[in-house]
Amino acid sequence: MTSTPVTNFDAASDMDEATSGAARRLLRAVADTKLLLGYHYGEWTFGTPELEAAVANCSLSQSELGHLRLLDGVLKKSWGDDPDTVLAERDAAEFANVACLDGDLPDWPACIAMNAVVDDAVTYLLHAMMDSTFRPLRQSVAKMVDEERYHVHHGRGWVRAWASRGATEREALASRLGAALASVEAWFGPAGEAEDQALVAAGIKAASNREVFASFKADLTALVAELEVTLPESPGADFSTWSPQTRRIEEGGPRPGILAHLRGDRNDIFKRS
Amino acid sequence: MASAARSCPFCGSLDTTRETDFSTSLMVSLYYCTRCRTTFEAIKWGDAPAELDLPDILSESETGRPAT
Repeated sequence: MTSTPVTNFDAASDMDEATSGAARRLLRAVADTKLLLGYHYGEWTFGTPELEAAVANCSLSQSELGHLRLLDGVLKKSWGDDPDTVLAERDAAEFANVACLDGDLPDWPACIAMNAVVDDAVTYLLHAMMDSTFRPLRQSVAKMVDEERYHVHHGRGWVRAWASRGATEREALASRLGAALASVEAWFGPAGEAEDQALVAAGIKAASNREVFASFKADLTALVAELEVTLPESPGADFSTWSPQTRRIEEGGPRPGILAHLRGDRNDIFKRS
Repeated sequence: MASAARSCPFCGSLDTTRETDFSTSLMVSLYYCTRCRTTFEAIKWGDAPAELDLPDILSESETGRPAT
């Protein structure tokens, strides 16, 4: 029995055009999500129920922004995407982050859901890229997954802690987890999506996005079942209007105030020209 | 600084040295990989891997990527 030789890609230019474009868009979507994760964790450095959570969120924010920098490096070296230009010149509607991060997080259970659902689900996707045939990505992902283990530990810990506080907290948590899960499901995209299939076929990642999402959802469901937290019933996403560019079902993007904050608009006069 | 057996998270090499005991936070040290000339941080957690609450998919103790 013979095995198919694995083609490794030292550079994006070694891939065919369709695979290269798909990889670029997916990594941009991960980078956009990490940008918004970094922002929201930073915002939640204050207002947490316990001081330790504030300190942890500050640290989580730093590592998300560090991961963004790693991805920026891959995107710039591979496709020439300048991170400052990408942030400053795109319309909000072009951002491909998980949609539930577009606006402010309304309460602490929503912040827990960001950690335990959005952040952790993206980590499952990164995990599927650890043996990627795309060398620059492979070398960056290992570092991110190592650090993300602590994010996962933190998120699961807060799910357990919040659920143990009482029925009201469990109900609020279930609602936020369910909303975040629906948003993440949309971001992962439909089964059999052409760009996703191209990435798996080229070995850029080891599993389809639907397989990654199913794996994540099964683990989350097992965790909350232990805690008597019942996720809301979901009919499943309707992908008929889904865009592979933005990974969204509906048009959206970071809210104007958040985007202005991310771009540092109020400090324009201090920027280097 | 003395050599430390921390594998580089970028290229997997063990040819790394600890540059500083503290880095961006008290809980991490700064390392330098001689092979790929990259600095990286590693979390201090004694010699044993931390026991984290992780799903099976992420539960391996350390990434330990092979050198590429």
